[in-house]
Amino acid sequence: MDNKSLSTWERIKDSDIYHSFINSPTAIISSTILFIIFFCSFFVELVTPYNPFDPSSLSLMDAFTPPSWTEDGLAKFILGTDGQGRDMLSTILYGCRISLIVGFSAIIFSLILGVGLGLTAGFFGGKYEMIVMRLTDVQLTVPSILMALLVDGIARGLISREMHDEMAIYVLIFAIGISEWPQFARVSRAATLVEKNKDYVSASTIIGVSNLIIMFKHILPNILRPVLVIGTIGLALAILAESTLSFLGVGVPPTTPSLGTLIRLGNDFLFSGEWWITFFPAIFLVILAFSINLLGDWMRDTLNPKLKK
Amino acid sequence: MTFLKINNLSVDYQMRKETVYAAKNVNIEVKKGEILGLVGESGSGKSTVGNAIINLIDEPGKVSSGSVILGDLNIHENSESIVKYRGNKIGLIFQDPQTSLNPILTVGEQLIETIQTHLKLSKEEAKNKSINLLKEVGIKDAETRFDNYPHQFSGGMRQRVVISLALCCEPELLIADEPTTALDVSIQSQILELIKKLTKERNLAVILITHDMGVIAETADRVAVMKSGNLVEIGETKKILTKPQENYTKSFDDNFFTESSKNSVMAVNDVSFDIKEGESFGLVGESGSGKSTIAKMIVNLFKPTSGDIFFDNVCITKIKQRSELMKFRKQIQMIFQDPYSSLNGRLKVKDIIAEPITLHNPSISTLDLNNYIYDLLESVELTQKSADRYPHEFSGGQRQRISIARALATQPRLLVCDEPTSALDVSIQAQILNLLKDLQEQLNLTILFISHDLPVVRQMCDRIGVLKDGKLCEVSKTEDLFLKPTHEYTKELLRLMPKIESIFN
Repeated sequence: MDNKSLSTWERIKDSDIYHSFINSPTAIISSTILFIIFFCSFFVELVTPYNPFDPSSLSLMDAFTPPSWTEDGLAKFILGTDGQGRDMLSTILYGCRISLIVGFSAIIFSLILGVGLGLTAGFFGGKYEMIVMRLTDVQLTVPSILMALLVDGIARGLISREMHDEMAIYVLIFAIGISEWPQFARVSRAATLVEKNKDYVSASTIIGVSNLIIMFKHILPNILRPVLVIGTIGLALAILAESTLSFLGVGVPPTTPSLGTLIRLGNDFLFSGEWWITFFPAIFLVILAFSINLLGDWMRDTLNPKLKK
Repeated sequence: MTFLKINNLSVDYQMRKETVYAAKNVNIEVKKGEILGLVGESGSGKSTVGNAIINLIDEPGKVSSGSVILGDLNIHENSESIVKYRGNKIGLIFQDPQTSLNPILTVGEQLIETIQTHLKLSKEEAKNKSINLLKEVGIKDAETRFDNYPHQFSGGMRQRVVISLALCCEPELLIADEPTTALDVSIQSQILELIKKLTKERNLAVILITHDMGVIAETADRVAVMKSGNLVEIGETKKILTKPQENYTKSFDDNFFTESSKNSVMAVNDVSFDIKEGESFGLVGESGSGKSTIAKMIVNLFKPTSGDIFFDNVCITKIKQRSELMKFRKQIQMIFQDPYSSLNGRLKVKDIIAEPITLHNPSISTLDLNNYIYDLLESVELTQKSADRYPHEFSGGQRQRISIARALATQPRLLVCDEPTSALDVSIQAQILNLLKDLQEQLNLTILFISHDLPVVRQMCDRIGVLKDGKLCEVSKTEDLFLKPTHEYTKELLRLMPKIESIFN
């Protein structure tokens, strides 16, 4: 009971989550990979010697250089170059930043929307709950890629062509976010139904606390665990959805390519022998999504006491 | 002759930070035809001993030393052999008859399956045997009931079926782990009678695990008292109950109370009573009698379909305006049954207690607020340091104290206590009850005390109302009710209440 004297760091070190993390090689490896990827993508200007989007750095002389370890490879382009002589590694890291920004923003958008609707639906019940839950049912019958394509199509109709390239990233965030909210709504509604019948909620009601404060101060922190777990796995899905959309050509424009755009661009060269242009972005995407999923699985196992052995 | 012999048994759980001893050097012997009561609070290791006998200890627990000898067999020597004895030589009865039967199989199918696993009998023979068993445990129309599903039986009947399942392979040892805890008082005594009868008729050795001294007094021949994994005392029931040697056993006797059962919401019909200022009014009844519903209506969590509740001559059920309602919210507070669900685990204790204070007095300064919180913590006998901790760092009894501090924060005049002690261990119950009594005197509180536990209510209340199926049977002064009950149901309740006194008669 002398926990009070411990610093925050000592408290973290003492927690079960830290302990489970230290003892799980999967968690350590996947989070290390993710840390490196996140760090390199967000501080990409510091990490890479080239800025692939600075026209002055383009050199057609260097175009289609294969990876450095092959016969014709150059040491300065570790993963080779693309059709415009841009360094693949730098391009991938820049692309990864776009993918991560879109993925994170989309998931935060759908978290806010889904948790907000799910929490209020579970708490108030009645007709409002029924409408929200039927909406999620409808939404879940439409494949999320189709939903995103639909949103993108509508956006193209509404926004002028010049504007569209600028707006593309926001449209994408909205399109992915809107297709992922139902699962957050479902999970948070179910958790709210459990929490709202607990005595601490009754206690607050009896004290006279208003519904809004009960929902956000008392219930929300108690339902966050399951929501964050599916949020992590949702992040991987959102990044993949972004790549799929970009691959299909409805995502971010080639001037600011994401991983999906890079895979699409490289796809054209696949059969003429320049395999690295599409292979490296693809393998990078796989590693990224796989690491997030592994970390998400570990989180689910750790945070769910029922699965504890 | 000794049938089961437990020698120096220790069970420990290797945890990350420490090793927890669930049982430590326990020595118990049970003879045939004898019921041994194993009592203790929750966490005292009584179920662990039961599970060790059948080798059903959950990971990461393990038997670290000692042996269990059944007849002339050492059970832990060969872990394969125990599979043969479980259900065959050893029968088991679990606490909750709702979950110990498979709901998708008929009772008959489950009996036949169990019989055929252990005995080489044809289906026809097995059926006859099961019908006889059902008759033996007192199920009427056994032939037709044989094809019924578990949900078609009532709780007590289902527990009888569970007993018949435990008996179907002619066991010599019966382990009953809290067999009556999930049942109502009236059914409890029938099941205990049945176990007593079967023990004599079949010459069984029985281990009855319970935390209820009343149950022990009525059934057990000998009793073993456990505390924190240690065997405190073992001996003749009469001797232990009348002349306990150990201090712990003494305190256990003094505070003996019966267990909680779940409250289900049921309509309350035409109930009228009044509570005077400064009085403690007790409301008793079995589970489902509507006690909790009344509590929730008084604190305005539900609205009654018809009828009114007056507080200070104002009808509180018809208040529409929020500001008006807040005035009453401030004056009527509630303490809940389960201290684990009544505190928000994500808030620090000081934030939990501060919430009602700042809500009703938004302009209070931080200094005054902190002082007030410390005063409240002190009045429920918790240290100031507790304020910065989270609820999970406290035990059940301490959590209930926090809950009381929160309820007192608005300086209420009426405190509704809904089974405030039934989720707590026996030795803690008394402390919480004393605290409530002290606070009532200091603050001139009016208390509505809801419980199914007659001894508790007798200790706490000035007047008592008895509820059955949502109707109020009788309201009278506490001593009058216990000495000269007028209503039939009250008499029945008092008669069925397991009594330590029964040992003296």
